[in-house]
Amino acid sequence: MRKINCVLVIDDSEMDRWLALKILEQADINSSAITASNGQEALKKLTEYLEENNCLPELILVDLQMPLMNGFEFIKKIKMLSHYPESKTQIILLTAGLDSEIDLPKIEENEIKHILFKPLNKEELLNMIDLSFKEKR
Amino acid sequence: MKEQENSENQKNVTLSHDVVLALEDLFQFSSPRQLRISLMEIFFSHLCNTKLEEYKPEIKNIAADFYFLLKFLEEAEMYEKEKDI
Repeated sequence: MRKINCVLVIDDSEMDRWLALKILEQADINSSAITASNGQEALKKLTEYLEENNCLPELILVDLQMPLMNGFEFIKKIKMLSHYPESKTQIILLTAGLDSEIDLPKIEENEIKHILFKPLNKEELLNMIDLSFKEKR
Repeated sequence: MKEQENSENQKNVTLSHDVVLALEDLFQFSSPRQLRISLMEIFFSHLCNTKLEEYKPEIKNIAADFYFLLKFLEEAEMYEKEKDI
């Protein structure tokens, strides 16, 4: 699996952030990691990261249900950033469950290709990361 | 028949032995946070780390139950913190 410059993990649950980071750390695929507990905090940290590195993290794991700014709202915002179209950033949406009437139209609308259900399984997550980088965005 | 049952029971005990030992160690701790962190380590080592070929529906169900217990403990911890503030 290719090495990723930076991973951004966004989840309001400390446990879910810990689990995701633990999987990535064991697989040794990322050079650095940023964490945030909601979309708003993540956007702030992304701005700081952009100022320092002039690029976006290559991988974003974002929870769907979060306070202040949920996963859909965050994805919408990040896709509006000027750096996004040229970046290699892959986004994986994490969720404990989906409401077919409410969530599925938003998944289509936001062109979200990669979704994983919690609880995370190490191999499932690593396979999805691998797959997302093999596919064209 | 009896022997077969015993052998199946023995197999179950052997399969869960590591988890039982880990849980026995775990209950030596007194702090709820430490307890939760240790449970998270057990969850990671014994469920999250399961190879996909062995990640059968019954293991997935156990993982989901364990995960929701951990979520409950996390929320209870946050509630206690808020109450203290």
